[in-house]
Amino acid sequence: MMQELIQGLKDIVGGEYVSTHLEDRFFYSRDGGTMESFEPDVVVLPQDSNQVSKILSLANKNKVPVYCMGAGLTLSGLHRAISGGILIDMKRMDKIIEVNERSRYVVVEAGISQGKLQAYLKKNYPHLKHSMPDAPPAATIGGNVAIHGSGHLSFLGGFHSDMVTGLEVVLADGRIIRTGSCSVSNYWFAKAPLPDLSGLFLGWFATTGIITKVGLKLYPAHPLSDVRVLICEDPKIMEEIIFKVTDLNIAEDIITWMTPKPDWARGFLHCNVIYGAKTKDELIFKRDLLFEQVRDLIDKKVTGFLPLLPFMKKRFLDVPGKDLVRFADVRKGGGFEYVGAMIPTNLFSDAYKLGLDIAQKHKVAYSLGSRIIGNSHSMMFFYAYAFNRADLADVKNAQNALYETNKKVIDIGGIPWKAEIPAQKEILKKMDKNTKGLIFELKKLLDPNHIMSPGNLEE
Amino acid sequence: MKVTDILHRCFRCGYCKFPSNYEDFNCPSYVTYRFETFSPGGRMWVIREWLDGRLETSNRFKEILYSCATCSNCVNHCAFPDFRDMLLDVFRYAKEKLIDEGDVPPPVRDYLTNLYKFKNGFGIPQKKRFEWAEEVEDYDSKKHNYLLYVGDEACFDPVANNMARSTVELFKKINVPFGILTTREISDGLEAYNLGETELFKEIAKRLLEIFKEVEAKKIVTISPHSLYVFKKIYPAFFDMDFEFYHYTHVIRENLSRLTNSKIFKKISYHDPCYLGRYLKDYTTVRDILSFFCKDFLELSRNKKNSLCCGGGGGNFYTALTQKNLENSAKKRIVEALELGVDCLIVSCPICLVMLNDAKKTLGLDDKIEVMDVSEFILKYV
Amino acid sequence: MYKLNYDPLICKGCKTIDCLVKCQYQDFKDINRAREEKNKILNGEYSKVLDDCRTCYGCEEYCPNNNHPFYQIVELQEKLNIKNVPDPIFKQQLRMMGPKNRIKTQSLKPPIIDMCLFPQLIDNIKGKLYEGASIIWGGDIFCNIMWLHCANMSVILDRLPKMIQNIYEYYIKQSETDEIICFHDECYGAFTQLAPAYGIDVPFKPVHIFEYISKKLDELKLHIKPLNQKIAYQRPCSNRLCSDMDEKLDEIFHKIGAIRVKRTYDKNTPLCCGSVLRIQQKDREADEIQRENISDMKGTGARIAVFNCPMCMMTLGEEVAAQGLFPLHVSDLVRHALGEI
Repeated sequence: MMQELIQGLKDIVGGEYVSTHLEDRFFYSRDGGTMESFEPDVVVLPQDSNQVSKILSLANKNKVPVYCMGAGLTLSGLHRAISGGILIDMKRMDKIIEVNERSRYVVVEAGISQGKLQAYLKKNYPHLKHSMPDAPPAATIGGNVAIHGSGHLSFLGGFHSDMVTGLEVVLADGRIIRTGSCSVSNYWFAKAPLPDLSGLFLGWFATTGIITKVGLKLYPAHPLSDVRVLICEDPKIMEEIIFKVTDLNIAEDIITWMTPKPDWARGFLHCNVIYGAKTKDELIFKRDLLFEQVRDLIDKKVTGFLPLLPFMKKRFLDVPGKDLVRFADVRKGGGFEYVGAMIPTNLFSDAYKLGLDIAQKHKVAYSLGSRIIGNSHSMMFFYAYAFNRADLADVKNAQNALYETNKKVIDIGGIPWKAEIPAQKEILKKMDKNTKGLIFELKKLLDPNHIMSPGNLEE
Repeated sequence: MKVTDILHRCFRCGYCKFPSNYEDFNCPSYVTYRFETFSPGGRMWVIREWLDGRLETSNRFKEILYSCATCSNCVNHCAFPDFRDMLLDVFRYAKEKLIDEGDVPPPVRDYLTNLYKFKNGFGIPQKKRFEWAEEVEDYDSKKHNYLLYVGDEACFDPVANNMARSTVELFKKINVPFGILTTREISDGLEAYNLGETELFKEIAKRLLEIFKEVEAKKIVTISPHSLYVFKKIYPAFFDMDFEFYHYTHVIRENLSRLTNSKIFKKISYHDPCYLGRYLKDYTTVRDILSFFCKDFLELSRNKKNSLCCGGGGGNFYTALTQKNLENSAKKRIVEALELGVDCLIVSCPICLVMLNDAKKTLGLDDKIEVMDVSEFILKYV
Repeated sequence: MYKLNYDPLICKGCKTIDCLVKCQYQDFKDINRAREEKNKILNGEYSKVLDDCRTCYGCEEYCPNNNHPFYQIVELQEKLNIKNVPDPIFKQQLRMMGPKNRIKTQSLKPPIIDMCLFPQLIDNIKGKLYEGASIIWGGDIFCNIMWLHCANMSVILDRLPKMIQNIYEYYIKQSETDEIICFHDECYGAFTQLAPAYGIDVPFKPVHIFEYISKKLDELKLHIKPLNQKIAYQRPCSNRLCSDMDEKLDEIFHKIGAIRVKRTYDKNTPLCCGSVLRIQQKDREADEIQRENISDMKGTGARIAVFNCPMCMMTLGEEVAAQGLFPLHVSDLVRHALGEI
């Protein structure tokens, strides 16, 4: 049957874009994180929605599992073919279909890279931008919204899934459906006022369908921008800083970072506040507003703005910043993985302490931080642990730290983001029974043959 | 640091596949195959598995290795400064191992056999090398300032040969005293080096250096940036030598005043070749020449260190592994130039000239855009 | 324990109180008020001067008796815990700039150029001017004078002697020279002015970068093509610890045919680049001073703004360029005259 299926796939996308080679199956069986590998039987690279539809029809007919991958950068191994079968690499689907300048949205194929969209907008619509995640530029738009990603405009616009204005999705049986305004109108302007079907596909780990097109909000790209970095030594003061800074609605992005390396950073908590402006005067005005907002703390000498020279600011303002992936080489070993915990902002101190305790207990190279989402209703608090891939004990140690972090995050009231399979199970364990039941019913309804990313979102 | 010490340090973040602004994929083998294994990061991971014995040598593995065009985009864009300079060394190390196993793809084997037997990759008898150059003098160190090293591609490939003919004609026009190695020129050996056949490379390089010494060459001008690179950067790692090396565009720039400064009203752009650009960091010579003649010089958005390779390096000009599928970087480059609205895309490398002309023909765009080298351009329009 | 070498009686008997009266950042037109505040300082009491001091080092230069009024202020600020920089910033900077214990013994060929903690400007050390130069830099030889801006003298007195010793032990002892060319005024000021004021021994010969360049220009005389350019010069605070070296700059300008334009904020009345004010969280004041400074530069008709202090250059360079002036380090200006740029 497999041979027939593979021939069928070749007929759909062309022989050169189907591989059963061991090399490809090996590479696609894992990511840069700590999760164990699971090989797909075949890797396939479709070029458009119709091809995806045909692939799913074929798989559904043959009851063969289907997994889906963007750039494979979740680090939690979400694209791994846990039950074998077909792995769809989406990156050939990378067209920009429409930019609606006045309504500030873009419609793209889901496999387009963040980098390509960013470059396109910079060149053709320099006054518009989309929210780039901190992932490398290879990360795809579809993959990122599907996992509720966040990025450098998340203080303004919330999670990247909140910025979705509509989706095109291929269901398990090959049907192509649309969510949001584009299901009624030619325009992809909003999810409202219709029943929000997008929610059936965002955060479901591709168990309900494969997103093939995304309508995404765009935001003004200001010609000038600045970053101010507040520093303190006490997490409670940082909570105060976050509250004050988020009370002032000028920032596009607010992130905190705490890292033991380089040595000068150890023990200090930093908060980057990034904002844009049309003119220099506006930029200075915003800077001064920010100063006034935390002036009482500065007067007490418990915080202050780091004196940053222009060349230093560039590192913080570069989107995406290469420095972040360099954390993978801290142990000279090509790896890190992180728990990105979605938690309410008021738990900042607890979350910070939790990270320090675990890092100390496991003696793991760590970096902690958070991104404030949507006016401080929540934050993505990250616990990143580096490891040396060539040292299996080190990998295991990082994995144990991650497992423990996931559990503790749930204990304090947070929820692990883009959770690895073990963390997914922990979340389901804690979930309200009726809610969980509904999730399983919906999964079954949309994927009766259980071909969509089996192994995910399962107890 | 050994090359094997860095294999596990690749984080597969994918920066290596992009130009600085991330506008599209910039790795020629990845552009062709689109499987992650054909990206630099993919190669790193697969090579590690292979060296550790968890993957066996297969045709796919060989294809993955040999489709690398050695364009050096990855070296320039990898996020890890501690080891990015070694990426191509890793790939070459694996290719050397395959050569040791005697297990390489047929087109690679054929190329190396030709090189071994004929001292050129085309498998054409050496006596035919300069049939096109009967009018060109044999190099005489007392008479000529420069020895013009033409190289395999510009001697034997009919399209690239136009570049050699034009350069010769232009040099005569601007009174550059030069000669060629009419009966003795052999391959520069770079592709043998890139394909991992280091012993053959050393043998060829040693012989070529002996010839340079025998004719008492001092200043050697190359047509191909690949030759210039291997002479300047690889030969000295193996041999003591004392020559000055130039690219033919350096000689043209130095003698610009001997040409009429007639303004050319053509919209042109320039495709930076990897070996003159990313490898030797020369981004100005050709631009100086072109801006001397042209008002309408437009930059391709992927230029200089972000140039999109034509896909012909690393032996792929001969093995055509980067041309295997319908999509390839040479075609993308032509489309980019067309979208930029230029009449003429200028190159300064015989391999680029052939690859981009082929792409243009395959796309059926022969009448839409010209692809020519600097000397052809000057002779035709100045 | 090192102690400041100064005579309170001289200050008590001072008729002019230049240290305060001439201050560019505090208003002491009334000499009696100045005397009153000065006396408080001498008595170890709080004075508003301690809060209002912008740490420009100016009073060290103004004092006709070389009685170190600025160091008196800094010592008292520290004693009375008058903080001009937020705690976490001070602590982090302290760690960042601290000794790293990575220094290794080296035999260096002269000239030895001490780049302080400014590796970003190592690229300036090239061409005929610095032929054969050895470069040293880093936290293990950092002069630490910057803590004067942070109301802290004890860190300097703790670290500076070790740094001096490091330079001697690890570099000078094995090298063919006992001269250290100080690229940054601050190092030179530390070795020749602050160290003696506290009785700290300096077992090598500090040479100011201007002295070195001026002498070198005599050797390179034949290569000089006079610039005939008007230059606006940003005199840094640290040069106020070694005022005589400012004359060496005039010498250099003369030799390369550069014209140091007369400006309000040069010579005895230079303006802070603003970096110190920013670390002290006084951004608005820094903006104002920078605006005033650059507008003064522009008003002279100069096309080039020349810097010696790397910090001034990194702070003001971009804005100066945005305002149409070409920012250059002194070394690069000289390399222009030598036809190397």
